[in-house]
Amino acid sequence: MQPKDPTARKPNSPAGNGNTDQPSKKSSNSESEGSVISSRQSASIIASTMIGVGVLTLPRVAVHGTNQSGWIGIVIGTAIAMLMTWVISRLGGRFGGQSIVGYGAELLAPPRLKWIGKVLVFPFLLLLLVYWGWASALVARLFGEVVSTTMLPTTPVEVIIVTMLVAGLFMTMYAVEVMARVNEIMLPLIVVPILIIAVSSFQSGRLENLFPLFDLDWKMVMTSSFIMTSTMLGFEVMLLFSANVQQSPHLIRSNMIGVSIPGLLYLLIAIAGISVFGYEELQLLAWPTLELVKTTEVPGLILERLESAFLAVWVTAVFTTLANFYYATALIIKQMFKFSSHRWISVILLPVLYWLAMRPDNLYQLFATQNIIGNMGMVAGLGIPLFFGLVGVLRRGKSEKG
Amino acid sequence: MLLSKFIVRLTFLALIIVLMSGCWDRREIEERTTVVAIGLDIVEDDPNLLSVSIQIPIPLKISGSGGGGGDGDGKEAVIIMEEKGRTVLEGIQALQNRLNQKIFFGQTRILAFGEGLARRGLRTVSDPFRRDPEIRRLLWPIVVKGKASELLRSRPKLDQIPSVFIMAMFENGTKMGTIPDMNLGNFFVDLSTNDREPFINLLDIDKDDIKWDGVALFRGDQMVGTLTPEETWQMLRIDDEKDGGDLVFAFDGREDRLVTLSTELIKSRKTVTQLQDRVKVHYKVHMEGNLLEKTFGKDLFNAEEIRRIERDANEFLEGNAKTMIQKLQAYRSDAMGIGKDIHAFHPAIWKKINWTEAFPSADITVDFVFELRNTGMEME
Repeated sequence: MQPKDPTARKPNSPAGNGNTDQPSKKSSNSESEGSVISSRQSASIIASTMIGVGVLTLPRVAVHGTNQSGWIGIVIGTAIAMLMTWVISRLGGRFGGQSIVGYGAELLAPPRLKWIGKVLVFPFLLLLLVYWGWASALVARLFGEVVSTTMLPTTPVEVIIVTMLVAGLFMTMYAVEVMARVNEIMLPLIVVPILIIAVSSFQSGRLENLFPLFDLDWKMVMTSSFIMTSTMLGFEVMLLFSANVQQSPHLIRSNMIGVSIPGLLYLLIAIAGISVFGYEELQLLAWPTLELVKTTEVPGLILERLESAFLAVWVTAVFTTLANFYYATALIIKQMFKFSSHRWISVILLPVLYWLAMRPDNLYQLFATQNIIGNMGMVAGLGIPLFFGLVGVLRRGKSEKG
Repeated sequence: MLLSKFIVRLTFLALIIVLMSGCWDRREIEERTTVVAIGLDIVEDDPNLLSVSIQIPIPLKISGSGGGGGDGDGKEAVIIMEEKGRTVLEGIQALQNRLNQKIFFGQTRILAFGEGLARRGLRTVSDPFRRDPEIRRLLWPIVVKGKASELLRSRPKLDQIPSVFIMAMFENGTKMGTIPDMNLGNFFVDLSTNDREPFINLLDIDKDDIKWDGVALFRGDQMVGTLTPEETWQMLRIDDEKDGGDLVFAFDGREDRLVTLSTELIKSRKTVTQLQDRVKVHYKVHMEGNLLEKTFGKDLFNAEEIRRIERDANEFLEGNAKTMIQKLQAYRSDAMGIGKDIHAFHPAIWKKINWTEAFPSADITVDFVFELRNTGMEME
């Protein structure tokens, strides 16, 4: 009737990373449900996790501080995200079948002192866990806020949040393979409509709003790139899911495409937003992409008020982000504490996520919290791959010498 | 194991049924009061009060809407209600208190401001319209000579719902290139853009007669003056490359010899230079057109006469454009967004000048190159 979770009834090996005493590339352990994610699915997971609630606020965030040149930050942000994804993919390839939980411990300590590695890697995992959990809660809250202000003003925001979280919970009940397939199917449903909106809104754009092109200083570019990179977060879920990815020579290329899809999409939306509204107006709009949709008439169509249709599509984008983060949170807890299944963890997480989602009192606090989580995500998404990548390079050099 | 799985599924099913099926926000179309036009005016006796008027169509009275309810007259197809309030929403609240259904702004097409209010400033009164997600950015803001409520009360006979008449007038006008495409979204954008001043279409009301009468110019959010239809067309041609209306001018400088030309395929090029403190902006506008009417017998069908028509057309257009630009400079209202263009494409010049001060004294010139293509079905 429904796909069976292959690990659900499998007795879990208590050793966890037990096989890592002899570090071998193909070590199989409890983190893995087998190599079930194809290269294309891996790219889809990256892309659809990255495209999330941020789409709606993106043009405003992009022009913050850099005025009409906000799109430069997106280009640099995409480049940084690609670099990180490359590091993560290389780490995943080197430790096939293992996630950060396994290879992190392995990298941080010599094989004989395994427990030291486990202790040392713990704060990193905790950071990821808190970030993913909190991020998925905030995604749900932002979604609730948008839907209740624009579409369903009398529906309580709590109900919208719970609905979304329960939908996420539903996906976490299945195996990683199912999650990968869901992402693969949903990605075109997200990308194509957003692409149409972005392209068709250019008809009311004004070229002069984008010029002068490079009227900025380095400090502004750095700040903007930092902010834009934080909107590109999501690729770091591969730190965890890489354990289940089939190793293939195309994997890195696919993952790069996975990052560049949101990069290009964000670039288009930002340029459309800036050229239609100009940066002064953008700073006044709470949900600029939605306003962009409202000013757009699809030529030749009788359809007006496309924003409802757009929001319907956007639900999909939000769902994949939320559910992937949710899944990652549950899965990393399972691997850290060697639980037999992540399902009950997901169920227990639900009220926690709901509580986190309901904590900000108003939109201002919500955006402030989002900033904090964004910075946390930057530490997790940039710091962890860089640190472990570096350690990996150093340890490899050492082991070759020894 | 099986039982727990069953319970989980049952819980999910129950949650889905409970959460997904209901509809908090269901509001049937007949449970709404659809407002098609909003008018805002100042109250003369009390500067603290605003007058808010709304136009509501009565579905039963609109003929052809089924049920045979329409009496064909259309005289009472809409009702107009007016209330006062210190804020826009206070006025709307007062209107809501007189209505049986919830007011719905999703179909609002017209947002009219009285001239008095426009001169006082529109930023504060447009605030609720920026916040309300029901309000479209594609509706038409209008400045009415006199009072906005007069526009709502006016009953053009050609359409049962006056707002639909105005809407069609604007949609066709923008399509023909005679009325500027200034919708609410564009107005908001121009209002917040620093280097461009907004303008809004201006309507003149005479009882049941509604006439487009050019545009109202703004400095910041305050209306400072108007452009006539001819001047607006010059602005459209120079800035937007829109066709504008037909040209009527004296041929060879004789008032009894009038020529009417159409204008189309307009191409406008702009050069910006700086001489000491003075900014020089020069437009070169190419256009083509047809002879539509002449009021004298002379055969114009030879190269020399055609050249003379073209020369006269250029002179007429240049003179007209000059008055338009002088008006903009006198009102200090950069409605063509020249400042924005200089900022965007000539940042070096922009850094050396203060546009707000430089604009009134800027040297803005326009050269027209009119080419006559066709004389219609007539040979002379």
